[in-house]
Amino acid sequence: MLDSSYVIEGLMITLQIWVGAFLLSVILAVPVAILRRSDNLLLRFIGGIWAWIARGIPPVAWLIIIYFGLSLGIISEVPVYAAIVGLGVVNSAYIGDSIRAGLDAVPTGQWEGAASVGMNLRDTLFRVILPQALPVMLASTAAYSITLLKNTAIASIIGANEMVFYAYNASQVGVNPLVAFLTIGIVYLLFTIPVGLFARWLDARVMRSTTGVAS
Amino acid sequence: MENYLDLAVDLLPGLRTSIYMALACLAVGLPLGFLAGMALNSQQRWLRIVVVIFVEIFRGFPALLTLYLVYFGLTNFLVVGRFTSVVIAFGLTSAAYAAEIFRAAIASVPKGQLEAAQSLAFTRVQITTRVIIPHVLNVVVPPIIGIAIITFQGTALAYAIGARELLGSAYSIGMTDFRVLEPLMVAAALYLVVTSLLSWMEILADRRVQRITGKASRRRSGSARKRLKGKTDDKTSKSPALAR
Amino acid sequence: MTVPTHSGIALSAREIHKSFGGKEVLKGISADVHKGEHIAIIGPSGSGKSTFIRCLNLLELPDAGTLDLQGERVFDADRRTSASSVRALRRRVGMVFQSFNLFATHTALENVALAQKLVLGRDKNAARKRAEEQLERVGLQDHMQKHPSQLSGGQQQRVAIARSLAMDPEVILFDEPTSAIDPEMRVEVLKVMKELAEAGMTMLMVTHEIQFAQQAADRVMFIADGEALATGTPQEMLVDPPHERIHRFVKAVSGVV
Repeated sequence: MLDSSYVIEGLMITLQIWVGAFLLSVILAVPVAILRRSDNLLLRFIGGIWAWIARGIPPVAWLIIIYFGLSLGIISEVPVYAAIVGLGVVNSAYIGDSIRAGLDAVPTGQWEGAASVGMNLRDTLFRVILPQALPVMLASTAAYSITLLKNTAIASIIGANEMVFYAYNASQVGVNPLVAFLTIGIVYLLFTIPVGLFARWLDARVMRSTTGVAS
Repeated sequence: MENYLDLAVDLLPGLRTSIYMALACLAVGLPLGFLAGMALNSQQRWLRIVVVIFVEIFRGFPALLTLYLVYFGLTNFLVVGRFTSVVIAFGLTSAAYAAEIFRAAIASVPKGQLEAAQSLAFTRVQITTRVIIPHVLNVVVPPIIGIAIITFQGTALAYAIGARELLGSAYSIGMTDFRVLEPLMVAAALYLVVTSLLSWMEILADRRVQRITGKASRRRSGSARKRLKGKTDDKTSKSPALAR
Repeated sequence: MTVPTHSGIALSAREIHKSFGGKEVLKGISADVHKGEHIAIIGPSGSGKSTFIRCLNLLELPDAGTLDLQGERVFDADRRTSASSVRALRRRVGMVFQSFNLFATHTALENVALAQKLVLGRDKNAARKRAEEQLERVGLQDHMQKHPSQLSGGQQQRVAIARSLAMDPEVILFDEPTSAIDPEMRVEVLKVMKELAEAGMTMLMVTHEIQFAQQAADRVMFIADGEALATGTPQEMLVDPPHERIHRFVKAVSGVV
């Protein structure tokens, strides 16, 4: 059997990478989304290049390049940090898309309506636009965060001691690999299925509300 | 510069392996996904339940975990090679993703077109072959290319079981003279090139679907505003993240 | 308008009942359509007129009632209905929908030719020739190779009419054929329908176009709350309605515009 204390220990690291990479990706995604929605062609181009490279290279290649390749001192020496940086970069492109889609989902009339009553940019954004854009952003962000969670498994390849890492080691020292990997597989499902249901529920709700506004 | 070109040439066999791997995975995954998508639309409750469980498991497991399960786990019963393991693992994973795409495509045939076919006295088989399947083949191309992208990038995980695909060969070339970064960067560039080609095809296919069905597709987030107006859109997910 | 002198009954519906989820939408509607006759069905939305016309094509299966085509029983709610008998009826009764319902993946020409090949077993050339004739008849000879998404609503509806005509139906049912079309495009569809009427096609049409009904229909039927309240000539029904209810409806529909 797979020792349950190892599973929990691994899970903690998995969650650390998940949350860390998620936060980093949100921090990176805001400027990316702003660049990609800019009126300036050059800024849009820069934002586009970022998203293109982040998405166009497999996450595992990102992690290996960051870990083995780039001599970034602290980052490269700690696999968990390298994983957070690598997965954060990849995910930032997707979260950037979410933010863009959320803003696009708010009709231009809403900006114009706010302007017509003399609201400033901050009030327009926080009182009018974001309350409408947020549910749209949240639905796709939740869906992307499932992909992100599954991608944390890749961190085991560069030696981060998360769940897959423990299962892999256990399978090398005599635990039946089927048992080892299926056990942690179930742990993943405990996260991916509820988050997936939440994302779909949110998506359905957004669909209803936006189609209601349309006509 | 010359050095990088030489590296690219050295990496071509690895790239070829990656492409073959991806094609083999899709050759397994797409037909299986089509059948699973049909099953998800079936009237048979137990069949739907079985397929939903299959889909949830293979979409919920990290791809790397599925690969380990096949490569290390199946040795309990039979010995499978690296390439075969990749094809089994990612074939099943892509089938799970494709199932959802085919299900949505089948469900998105406009009801009116089915009624028109009925009112013209088509048989059930004729409705399937002449109305449903042409529609599905049309709308399904862009998201299937999306799956091809994920599958192609996913083959890089085969590095973890020591396969000599693109990433694996970049690493081993790097290890021979302990300069890992350069071959890895060149490999990354090659991934970027193939992914970009596929993305470009996806955009073209998407435009074609829009032209024929006259609908804004859900796949590009930029079309969100059009989506708002497109009230007649089918009730499938609006988020591209959920389609993947 | 003169009392129509038609030979025999093309379509006869008797006591058609239909409920959805316990709500009775049709409470026993009967209608006789003579050969070459044009009947307009009017009534408020939600009255059941669309459901009635869909029952005549068995897109909805009536819970009770019978259908006869040329005196031959083709549907009886009390007897088991086979898929092939449903198809046999549909082969003889054409249908034009509110939202056109063209096959999006096929060109206009293919839309008109497909059912001829599949259902009537016509060979490729015969079906193509007939499709071209019918598309010409509705004025679309220059648009045969286009996909539905490249055509305007009015053009799509004319393709749909040609598709129905190509099957040589005994009756054509129209379910609000102009409601989904921009006002300025409606004329072209109504013109085609009027030409069909003049050519002697047997037609049953649910419509909101009171003026068109007045010009093209031999008889007008008013349906409200799942019942046929009255049937009569356009003169009787539209100019001097027999019921207060019909009067109000006609005034509301034609008066405002």
